[in-house]
Amino acid sequence: MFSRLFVPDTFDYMIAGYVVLSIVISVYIASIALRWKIAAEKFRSYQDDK
Amino acid sequence: MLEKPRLLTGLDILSALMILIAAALVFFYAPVEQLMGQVQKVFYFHVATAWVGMLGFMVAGVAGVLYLRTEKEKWDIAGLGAVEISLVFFMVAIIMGSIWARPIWNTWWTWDPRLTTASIVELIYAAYLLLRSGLDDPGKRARFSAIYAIFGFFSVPLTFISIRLVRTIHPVVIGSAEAASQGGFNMDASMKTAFFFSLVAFSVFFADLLWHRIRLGKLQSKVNQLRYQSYEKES
Repeated sequence: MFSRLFVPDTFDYMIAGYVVLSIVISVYIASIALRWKIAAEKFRSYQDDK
Repeated sequence: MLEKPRLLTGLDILSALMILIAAALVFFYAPVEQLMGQVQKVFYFHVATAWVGMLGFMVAGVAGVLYLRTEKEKWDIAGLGAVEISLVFFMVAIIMGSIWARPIWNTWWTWDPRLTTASIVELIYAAYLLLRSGLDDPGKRARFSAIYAIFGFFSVPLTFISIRLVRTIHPVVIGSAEAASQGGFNMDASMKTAFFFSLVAFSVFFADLLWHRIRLGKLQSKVNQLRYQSYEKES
């Protein structure tokens, strides 16, 4: 009976978990995009030099 | 070379949609667990990210075998991409687990067999990237990476079975739990739906990221070739 009435408030921890997930994955995706952009610029410049 | 395949764009959209649906299932469909409260919802993506980590380490091992058999650069690029993505996801799984543990175990960290073996796996693959970057010869680097990825993978099943073999407080949600585990729970039908959908969604997301990372690796390799050719021309 007691456990049915008392659900602990752990909302902040849940949010913290998903915030960490979102930030880390977003940074990784951004790093792929940035590295692609840099490599593509270099590729184009070497192609122009040919 | 720079043009993005349509199929990849489709996979981007599919993986984004699946992650959104998985999040909706976790937050709005799966019920709040009565003993742990809302933090139990961390479990769905914690397991999914750990699964992607293990999947990627396995892909890297397979790519290592294929590289040693064929010596084709594409397998080296695939192995590197899989390790890189898996390191990120496995780190997220460890951090999410730690956040879950704070209210449930009353500690951010304990040297439990699962936590210890997971940390060892993360360090093994972090060392893969560090050691790899120290080798200049592309052939040697690829061979070393292939062998390292194959042997490194032995640490992954050890992590998976650690909570099933030895006494641990880490819960076993699927399968029989160790008596000492704390924070375990039984999943009802809606929890199972959210859980398995999350696993599939993150697997698709992994495939999508790996494709992007392989394209990036191929482009970087091509740029290196062009740079080398340009130096040769100049000298």
